[in-house]
Amino acid sequence: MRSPHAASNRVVLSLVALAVALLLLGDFASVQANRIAPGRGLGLFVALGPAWALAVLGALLTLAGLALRPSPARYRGMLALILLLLIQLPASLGWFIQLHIGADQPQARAGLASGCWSLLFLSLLLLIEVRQRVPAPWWWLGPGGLLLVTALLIQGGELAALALLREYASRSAAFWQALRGHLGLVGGTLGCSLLLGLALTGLIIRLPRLQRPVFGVLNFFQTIPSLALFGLLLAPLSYLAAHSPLLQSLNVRGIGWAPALLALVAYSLLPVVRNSCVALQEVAEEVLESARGMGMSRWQLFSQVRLPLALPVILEGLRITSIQAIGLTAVAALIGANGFGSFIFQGLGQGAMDLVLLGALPTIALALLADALFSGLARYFQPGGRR
Amino acid sequence: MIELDGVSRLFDGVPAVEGMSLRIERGEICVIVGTSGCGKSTTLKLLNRLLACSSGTIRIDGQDIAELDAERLRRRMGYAIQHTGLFPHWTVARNIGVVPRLLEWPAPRIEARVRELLELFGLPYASFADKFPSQLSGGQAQRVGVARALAGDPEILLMDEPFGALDPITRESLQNELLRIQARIHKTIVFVTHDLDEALKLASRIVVMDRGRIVQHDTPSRLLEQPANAFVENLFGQGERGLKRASLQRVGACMLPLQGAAPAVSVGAEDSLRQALSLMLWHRTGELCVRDAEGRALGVLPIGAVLQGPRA
Repeated sequence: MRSPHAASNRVVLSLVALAVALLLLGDFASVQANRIAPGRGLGLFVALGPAWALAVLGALLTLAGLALRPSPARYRGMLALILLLLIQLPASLGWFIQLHIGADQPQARAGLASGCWSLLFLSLLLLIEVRQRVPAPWWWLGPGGLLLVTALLIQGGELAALALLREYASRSAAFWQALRGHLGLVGGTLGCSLLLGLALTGLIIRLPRLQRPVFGVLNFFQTIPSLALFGLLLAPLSYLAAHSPLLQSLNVRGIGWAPALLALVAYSLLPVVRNSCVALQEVAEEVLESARGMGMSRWQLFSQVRLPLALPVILEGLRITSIQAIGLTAVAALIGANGFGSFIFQGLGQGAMDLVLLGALPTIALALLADALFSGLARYFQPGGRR
Repeated sequence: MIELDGVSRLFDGVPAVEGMSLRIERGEICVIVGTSGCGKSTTLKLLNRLLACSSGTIRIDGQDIAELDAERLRRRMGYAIQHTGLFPHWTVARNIGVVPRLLEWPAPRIEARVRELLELFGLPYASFADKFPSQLSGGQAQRVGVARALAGDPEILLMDEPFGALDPITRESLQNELLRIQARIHKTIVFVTHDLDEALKLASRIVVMDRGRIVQHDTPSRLLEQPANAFVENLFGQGERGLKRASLQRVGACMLPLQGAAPAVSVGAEDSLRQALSLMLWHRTGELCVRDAEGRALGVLPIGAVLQGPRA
């Protein structure tokens, strides 16, 4: 008799099957003689040599074996294997570079191919799946170890031949400038939309009949495609800048940071205002009545009761806004706003995928960081969440 | 002492409270009853100026409350409402300390007061002070709500159906607690309810309201014995009136001296005549032995004495 507990975990089995198939059928990594030469893709066994390749496949198959008849102990074993798979990934790239790119080839570069990427993402999906099955507070060792090993290998120069790092090395100054530009635009957007959004919220709460028209306008902004909005702002801003020395001195032009900021704020207002309004209006009536009945002044009522109770939802609005702004700032590179978008569009223009990645990966990382930051803040301010 | 003098309140021209004149003495529990929409909650909110009077004056200890600062006035009055209105983002201790904090008491005094109130309501400080309202049962939350209303040591306590959302057993134990605590602190309590048994149990005097007007203002027993009109008679349950009155009367006040052997079935001296009657019906007996809390026989209660009622 088989207990229902022993039923095989089909999610793990399918993910492992997919990983094995992609590793065997696709290229694991590629070698380019120089930046413009076409890359030569290498399969898993050629790229890492038979020993390492068999170890990776062996780990995956063991994982599948454990998933056939899972138990808590086996889930812990699966988790350990997934952590190993994640941590060996940067090391395998270092090994790949050592095998295929000699010191006599300073122009050669290594690229990541489909096998490497799919191993990374499928391992992360496996981690998410297995983590739900068994309580293991050490699950973060996987992604943490991955980052740590990567950092150590970069520090030691083992990964210097990686195309991504070669691209970075040749424009590190531009990279940090792009980071500053990106953060500046996102920060400016958050600040402006917070100030403006809270002002609009206050107005709506005071004068409820403004709610419909205000949301109508904000919804309308949201429906305009971002590129179209940048384009629409070009003419009026150029005109204003041409006729105002003050604006000229601030470097406001039809292109650049000014239209980008305006468009980003226009997009950000809807989530900020909608969340703030809902949050402030939904504070329970009896809580407000008892606060008034206790003798709180209007300001005390707002600062001690309404605002703290609404804060988690307001922060949720800021979270949406920040992620949206981080993504749109990349697009704003098209109108000359400084940010990681410029790498993406340059890379697309030159057919250099590694340059695209140099812009895309930090953009994704920023979005994930913003998400974690605001979710964490919202949890911290959750009623009853502070202990 | 609270005096209402010709007080009216209109909402969009429609009176919710009309020409209300009332005197509530210091230290009494005045219960306002009536059907929904009769203006009883409105009256309470007029007292702490959550609503303003459309006409008429309200005086507390001779002072017109319209001339006072509304927020200071409210800090002098406790306010407890049906759904507690506890602040969900604050601990129990912080909730109870709201008014003392608004009154700018020093921190050690606030803490001592919170401790004292929690103990008074049978909620041990160590296990309850740091809980959040969402972690309390309905009865505990309402105890905290009433404790919070008492925290600033107000002269007057306003209670708007505070026990309305509780189950009957919890409600009764909170009513008993309120009476026990009131016997110690002697506040002036204005209590709104639509539960007539609750009104009869708690009130020194009851105000019956109908469509914004006072129909009758009297002690519970006089309301039962001499209802002002058919509305009051109806409200206090026609056929059940005898039982309702019996529930107001204590066995100890009706018993006769014990002669001979004590009857087999016993009743407490503090129990109501209604409970005594129920025991007689259940045990098919016409005579009960009256005992005190320690179980000593004090007297005897024959059914004739129940019918006669308390001796003057």
